[in-house]
Amino acid sequence: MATDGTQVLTVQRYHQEKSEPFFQSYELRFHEDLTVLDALQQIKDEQDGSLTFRWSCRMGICGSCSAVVNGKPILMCQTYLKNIPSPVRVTPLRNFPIIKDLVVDIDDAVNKMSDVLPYTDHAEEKPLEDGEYQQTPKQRQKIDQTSQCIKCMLCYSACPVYGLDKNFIGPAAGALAYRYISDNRDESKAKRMDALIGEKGVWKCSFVGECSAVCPKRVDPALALQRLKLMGAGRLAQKVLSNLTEKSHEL
Amino acid sequence: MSFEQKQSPFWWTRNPQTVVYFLRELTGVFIALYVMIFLTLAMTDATLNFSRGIFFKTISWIGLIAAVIHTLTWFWVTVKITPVLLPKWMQLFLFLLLVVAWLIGSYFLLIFLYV
Repeated sequence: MATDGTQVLTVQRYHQEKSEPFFQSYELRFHEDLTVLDALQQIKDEQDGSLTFRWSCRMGICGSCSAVVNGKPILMCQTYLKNIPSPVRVTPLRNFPIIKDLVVDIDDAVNKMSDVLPYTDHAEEKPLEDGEYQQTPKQRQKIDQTSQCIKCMLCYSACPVYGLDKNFIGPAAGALAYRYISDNRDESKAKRMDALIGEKGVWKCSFVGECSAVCPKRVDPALALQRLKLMGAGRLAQKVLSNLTEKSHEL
Repeated sequence: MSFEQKQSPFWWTRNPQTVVYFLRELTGVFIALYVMIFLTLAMTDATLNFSRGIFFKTISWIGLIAAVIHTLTWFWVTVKITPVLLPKWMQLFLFLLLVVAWLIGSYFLLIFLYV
């Protein structure tokens, strides 16, 4: 770890003209307050305008500047260079196709999130004069943690199950599903649960726990997935029982 | 055209936590092997005389060590995956509490079922 002067940062690069990614090292001016994102911006401004990476808010809210630094998925804007042992190596998020340099294609994970119907659904909308759909502080507390997800995709990058099998729904989508299933105002729990207990659902999670370990917002997708497994088992039992009842009525 | 990243077969070596995870899952194989060997031998020898032999004693030790590692690593995961971030001392305290509960449960099982 450097304390002043210069620091070398190695970045994985990829251009569509080349068949394989390659590494490129840059020497930059180091100071104590420099984050990995600041360092990349310094390189882009002063040395190599072609270096490509995503960023937006620079304060750990938007989840755009995710990358893998020295093997660990992190938000670059929240990680100070002084806290990372040298040599520092920045690579794109794992488990996603690379579009250019540190920019990856996250469409698959985003689609999985929309598959779990991430909105509160009411079987019948009540008229405006009946007021809001209310929630007690205790009911709100149930969804507080999973509501913190910023869709940074660090959990997908850390998940070895998703790395092996893209059919797995993945950690963030699981956490999102849990958030809406646990919401007292939602009335589509059964429909959402049915989407989760199928072949692409929650069962493939083998509880490595890496998703929760890397989550910058302590959303704990691993816990949400284990709870969904319990709920899913209940839902399956309920479906079997209702099928049996229907058949007995037919007889 | 994008570049498809492939997951290395050695993904589990990338940090100590995933090594522990892999070890925990692997111990399940040894526990299952112990149970299968025990049941196979017990089917042919109802008096359980085979349990005095060195082969079965070795298998039993392997099964026991695997079960202990499996249980302890699961307990450690349990205290790590909590809805709120617990301080290290609290995690350790909960872990020890689980171990004590496990030992007490095992003692009563031993007393009522085997002794």
